[in-house]
Amino acid sequence: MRLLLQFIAILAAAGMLLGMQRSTPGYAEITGPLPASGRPGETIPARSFTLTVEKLVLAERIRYRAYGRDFERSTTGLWAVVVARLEARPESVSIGGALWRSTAGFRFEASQRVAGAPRLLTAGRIEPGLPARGILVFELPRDQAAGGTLLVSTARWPRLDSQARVSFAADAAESADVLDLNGLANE
Amino acid sequence: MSKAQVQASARAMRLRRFSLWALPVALIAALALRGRETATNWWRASDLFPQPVRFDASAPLAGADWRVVSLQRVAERPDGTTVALLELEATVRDPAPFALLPCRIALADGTGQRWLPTFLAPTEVSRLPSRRNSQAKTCGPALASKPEAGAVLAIAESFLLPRAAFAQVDVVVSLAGGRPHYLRFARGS
Amino acid sequence: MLAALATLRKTLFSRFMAGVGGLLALALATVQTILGAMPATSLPTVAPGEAIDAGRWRVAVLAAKVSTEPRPDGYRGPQGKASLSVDLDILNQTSESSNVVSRILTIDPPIAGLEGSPTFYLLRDRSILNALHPGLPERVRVVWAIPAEAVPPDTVRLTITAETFKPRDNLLATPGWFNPKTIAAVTLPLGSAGRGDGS
Repeated sequence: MRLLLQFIAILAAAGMLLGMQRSTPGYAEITGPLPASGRPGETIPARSFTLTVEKLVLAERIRYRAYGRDFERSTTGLWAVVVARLEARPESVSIGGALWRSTAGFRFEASQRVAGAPRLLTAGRIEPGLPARGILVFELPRDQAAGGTLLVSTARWPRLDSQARVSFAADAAESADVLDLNGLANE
Repeated sequence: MSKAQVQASARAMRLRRFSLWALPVALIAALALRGRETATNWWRASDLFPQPVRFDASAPLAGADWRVVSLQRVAERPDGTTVALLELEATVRDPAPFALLPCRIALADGTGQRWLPTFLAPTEVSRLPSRRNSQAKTCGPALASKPEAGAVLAIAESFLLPRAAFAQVDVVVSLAGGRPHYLRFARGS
Repeated sequence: MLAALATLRKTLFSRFMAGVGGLLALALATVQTILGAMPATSLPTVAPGEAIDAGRWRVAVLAAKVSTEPRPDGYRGPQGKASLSVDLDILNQTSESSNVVSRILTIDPPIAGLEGSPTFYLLRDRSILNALHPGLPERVRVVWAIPAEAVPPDTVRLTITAETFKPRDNLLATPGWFNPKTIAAVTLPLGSAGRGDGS
C-alpha cells in the first residue's frame, strides 16, 4: 500500500514537473517584442517611433520607377501595399522589421523585390520632427490576403523592444489591378 | 532525552537559523557577482552626466580637447528639411582612451529630441566650397585611425533636421572613453 | 540496528535503480548514434520535374545545362567561366519568409572545377533571389561558375537535403530547422549540346 502511494506520488511529481516545463515560456518568448497594438487610422506609439496606417491596397501587379528605369512586378499571389506615416521620437530611427502576419499565422517579410521603389519606409532613416509618409510592400498568397496584422519595429527581430501592431479587418483593403507606387507615395 | 541529544538538537537549530539568515546574503552576493559585468557595461555605455560647454569653447573628453568649428546649414529641401553640417576639431592628448569606439555625435534640442548623423549624397555636401578639399572624416573612422598624441583631427558629420529645430540644437559629443560623462555644446548662451 | 540495515537496503536499492536508468539512457544514445552514422542504404531517386517534400521546402528539379549565355540578370559571370545552371520550382512550406535555400542542393559526385557556392536567381524578376514567402511558389535558377574549357559530364546528379522542424531548440527554446539529411537524388542530362543555347 505504502509502495503504491509512493509510486503515485512520484508519478504526480513527474507530471507536475513536466507540466511546469511545458508551460514555462521560453527564453525567446520572455525576451520577445513588446506589442503596441492599434487599428488603421490610429496613431500607435512605440518606444522610439509612432506609426499611423492610412490604407491598405491589394493589387495584382505593381509598377514603379527606380534607378531611372520602369519596373512592373507580377506575383503568384497578391501585392499588399500599406500606406503609413512614421514619426521618430525622441531619436532618429530606421525601420529594420516590417512583417505581415496573416490571420492563419503565416509571417511575411516585406518584399525585397521592390528595392529602390520610392518612399519605402524600410529603406531610409526617419528623423525626429520630420514625419515620413511612405509605403510597406508585401507579397501574399491569395488565400492569406483577407485580414491580417502589420508588425513594425526598429530591429528586424525585436528583443525587449516595442513592436507596433496594426490589425486589419477582412474587408479593410482597397483593391487595384495595376498599382503605381510612385503615384501612391506622392498623392 | 539525554543531555547529548539536547545539545545536538540545539546545535542543529543554530545551524538552520544561520543558514536561513545566510540565504538572503548569499542571494545578494550571487546577484552582485553575476550582474557586475552587466552593470559596468551599462555604466560605460550610457550617457548619464552632461557636461555643459559654451558653444565656442573647448572642453576635454576621453583624452582629447574638443571644439565645435562650425555648425552650418548646407541646404534646404522643399519639404522643410534642413541639411546641416557639423565640423569638430579634436586635439588628442591621450591616444589610448581616445581611440575607443563607438563614438556618438548628435544634435539635441531642449525637449529631448536627438538627431543622429546621416550619410548624404556627395552633391549635397560638396556645395560648400570649403568642403571640397576637406580631409575631415566622420567620427568612427577618425577614431579608428589611431592618432598619435598631439594630433589635431578634423571631424565632420551631417544631419537632417527640421528647419525650425536647426536654430536651437545643441551639439552632443559622447565617446566610449568618456562615458558616462558627455559634452553638450550649448547654443545661445 | 535493524533500522540501519533498512536504510542501507534503501540506499543501495535507489543507487541501483539510478544506475540502471543511466545505463539505459547511455545504451539508447549509443544505438541512436550508431543508427545515425550508418550510411543510407539507398537514396530514393526522383524524376526531373517531380516535386519532393524537403522539410521546409517543396522542390522540383527541372533541368540543368552548361552555357556561356549571360545569367538571368545579364551578368556574364567571371572572366573565362561558363555557368552550370539548374532550374527549380521551389515552394516555401514553412510559416515564415526565408532565404536559406542554399543548402538544398548538392552536386554529388562533384564536378571538377566547379566553384563552391552557387548564386540563386528569381526567374520571374531576372534578378538575384532574396526571400521566398510561404505559399508562393517560384521558379529559381541556381548558377555555378565552371571553367569555360572544362568538359562537363553527360549527366549531373544532385542530392536534395532536408531539415526537420523542432518547435523548441535545446538552447533558447525557439522553433527552428535542424539535422540536415540527404533525402533524395535526381539525375539530369547535361550534354555539351546544352552549351551555348538560349534560356
